[in-house]
Amino acid sequence: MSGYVIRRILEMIPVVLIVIVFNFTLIHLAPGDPVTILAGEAGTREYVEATRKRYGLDEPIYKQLAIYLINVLRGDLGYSFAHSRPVLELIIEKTPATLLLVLTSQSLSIVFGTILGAFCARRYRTKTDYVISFLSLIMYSIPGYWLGLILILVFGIGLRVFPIWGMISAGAGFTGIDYIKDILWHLFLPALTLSAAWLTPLFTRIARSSVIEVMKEDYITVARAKGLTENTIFFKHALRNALIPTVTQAGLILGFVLGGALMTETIFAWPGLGRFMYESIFRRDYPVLMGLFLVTSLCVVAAGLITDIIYGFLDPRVVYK
Amino acid sequence: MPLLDLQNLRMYYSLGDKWVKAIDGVSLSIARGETLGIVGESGCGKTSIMYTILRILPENARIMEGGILFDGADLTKIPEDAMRQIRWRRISAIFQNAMNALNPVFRVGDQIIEVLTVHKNLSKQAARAKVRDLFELVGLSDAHMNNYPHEFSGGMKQRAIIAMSLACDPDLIIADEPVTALDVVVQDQILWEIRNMQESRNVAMIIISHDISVIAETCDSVAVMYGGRILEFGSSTSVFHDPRHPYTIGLLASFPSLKGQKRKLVSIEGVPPDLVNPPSGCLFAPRCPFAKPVCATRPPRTTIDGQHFSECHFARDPQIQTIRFGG
Amino acid sequence: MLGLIILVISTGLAALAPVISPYDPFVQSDLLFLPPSGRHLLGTDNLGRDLLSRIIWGTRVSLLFGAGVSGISLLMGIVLGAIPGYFGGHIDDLFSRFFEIYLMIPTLFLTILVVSIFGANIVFAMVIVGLTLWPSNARITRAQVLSLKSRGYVLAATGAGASHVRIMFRHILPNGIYPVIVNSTLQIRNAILTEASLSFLGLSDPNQVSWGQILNVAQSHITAWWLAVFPGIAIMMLVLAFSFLGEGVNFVMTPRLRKRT
Repeated sequence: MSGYVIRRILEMIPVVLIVIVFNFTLIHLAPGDPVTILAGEAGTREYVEATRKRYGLDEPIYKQLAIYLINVLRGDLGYSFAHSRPVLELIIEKTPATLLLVLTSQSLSIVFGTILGAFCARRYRTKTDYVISFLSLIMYSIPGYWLGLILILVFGIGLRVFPIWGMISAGAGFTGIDYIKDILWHLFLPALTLSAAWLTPLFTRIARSSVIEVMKEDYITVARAKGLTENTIFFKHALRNALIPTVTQAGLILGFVLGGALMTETIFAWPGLGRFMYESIFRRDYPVLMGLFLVTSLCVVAAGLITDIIYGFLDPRVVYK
Repeated sequence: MPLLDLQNLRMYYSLGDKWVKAIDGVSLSIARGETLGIVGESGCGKTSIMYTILRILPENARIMEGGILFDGADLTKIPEDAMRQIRWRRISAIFQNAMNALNPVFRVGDQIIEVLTVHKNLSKQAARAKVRDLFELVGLSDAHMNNYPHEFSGGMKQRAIIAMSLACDPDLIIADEPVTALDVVVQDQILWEIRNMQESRNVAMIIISHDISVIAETCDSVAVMYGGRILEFGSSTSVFHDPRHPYTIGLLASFPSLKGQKRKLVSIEGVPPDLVNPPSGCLFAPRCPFAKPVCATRPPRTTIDGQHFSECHFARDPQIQTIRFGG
Repeated sequence: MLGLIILVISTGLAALAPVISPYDPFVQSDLLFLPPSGRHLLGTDNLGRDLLSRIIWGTRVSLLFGAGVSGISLLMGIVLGAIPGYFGGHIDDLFSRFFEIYLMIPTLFLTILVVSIFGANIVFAMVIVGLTLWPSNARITRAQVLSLKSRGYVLAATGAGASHVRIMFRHILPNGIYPVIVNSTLQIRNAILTEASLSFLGLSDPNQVSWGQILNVAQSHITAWWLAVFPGIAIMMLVLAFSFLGEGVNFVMTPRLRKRT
């Protein structure tokens, strides 16, 4: 098992490098002078020159690549002139908010979606199944931000139940438990949006088809012949096999979830990385954009790795490759 | 009293608005400790018999008529929890295709321990000990108990399945194609072990196979199945040495014999009957080289002697044994 | 089935947009922020433009985008999937690695990044999104090619001396194409959603009317609820149409496949 883990980690290293190189390529493919991307449009003359020096932009390209690589590995992702702070610092600061949103939504979706999906699978081809599947399809077709807007209309403005802006009530100065409650209150709508519009229907569908497939397997028939109760068969034998695709998917979609988070954060003015990206687009704050892209790509790689490891625990077949 | 008695059993599958008559009037019985072989082509309904007895049929199957008397109780009528007590504890099974019969995410030993804790209320340790014995019995080292199914070879998996079927000391084991997926050498070993175990524990066995040689080696009595019905039944000796149905004769002729003269392999022309609309007369008539006009009516069950019967108009006519099939 | 109907209607709308919209979608007027009324069935937006017309015109962009993206993805996917599948060996390994890496990239971020750097041009956006989507088509094609290449008729054709290209196009692809087609309908659907997302963020081509654009405005003027509700419904219907279409195609193709084999 540990051999498997080490192998996966080692396999990830070249991927990480490729991601960084890809970033680098992007910088240099952009129209105009790469220094604009690295220094941002708002920099002063001296700053731009200093950046040019720092990234060795007058040097041959392979040297530039090396310098870039080293910089990144040292944690230097550039400097945002618009915010007057290093990019990495800004990113780290904004990460917890996004993490909160994404993890909450994804966990809720996985749990709820899987339960719903398994529930449907057990009632395969009954009315309940059809109705839920259809509703699921509709939800899946709704753009997340649209749902967000509707929710804002209904709950935020119409019914005035939930706050629609930001993560905490500005200026209220809550502490301790009240602080947490305040955050949760603000978290509700964005998390609901992110989860309902896309994540939950996705997991419902995965769980449902996975369970249906598993129930057709020979070992389930054997389990029945063994005289086990339907519940035992379902929860012990079928579910463990059926959950494997769920876990796999959960890890793989992180890239897309971040995209959804971007949208959601923008609408709800949630102070996370998504919103940060949105603002930076309009400020043309390129160093930030590049840095964000790099960081998120690496997060996705990491998520993939963790998923693989968890998968190794669930499915014994994969460890002995 | 026979251990298991199928009485005029009819089981159909529903396909939309059609019924597939998988088992269409089967009457069979087996006594304690006896081995019964059911032989026939694929699709003749033999696997369905196993599923029907154990009542693990899919949603669209229905037992239309008939009874399954097991030790006095009619399995078609008892409630589900009673049936669950019987499954594996008194009637167990060896499934075709052992490849997928074991759950890939659980260790092999644990899967057998499961039936012991559920049905026999053994503690984990006691169950473990018993599994060790079972493994030894089938020729598996007990180090393998902690392995996962994908680490087993085909033959090993089959042995594990056999061990599992014996775990609760059942009265009856139904084996569906127990050796088909294995190579000939392993087949021989496993068959020998099955016969051994069956004799030493006095377990009744129903062996279902399309391979006549497997049946011939292991069974006391034989039922020849075709199109959902039993065409001929009797002790192995009488059916194999004195076949009284053209289909049986055809089956025997299509298997090569290692000893004896080299002869051309024979095949029975034509295709198995359509189970949705079976012929109204003799089911085998369309493919029978001996067919006569009278075969347009259903043949009666003709007793040859004692247990041996055949459903052919010409069962008593010695001429049928001279039939030659084309091919 | 249902999907086909909606699709036909939408295409009709898109094509006839200039004819049937009650107003020119770009014309601004003084009637700002009218709720739905007789003269403007769905109301007007922040610049007094008629919403209904804008929604009708928006259909064009969405369909165009979907078709374009899917086309690119299909083309690249089939070619780049068939080659590793057919030749196997190192090329195949390379492809698998490449594919794994591709999966790691957060596509929306990438698209946004690229579009913001390189400028918001609809054709360009289509190319980028197409480039992010082709791997899934490629993977399906590869799987199909792999399974089909050992079929009898392929071996027969190879034995008869047919060239690789010929085998690929005459024999393998026509049989393996169905899952890819189904996947394409899904991709069109995703492309439409992506386009809406991009224009929602303000990264769309200002010369085009897009549903996402309308939603963008809706966000800042949330009390004009009609601006938010209707484009969303439009998006949903079109996306659903493609989903249904995909299922319909899948349903039709599968028994046919079974009959063939």
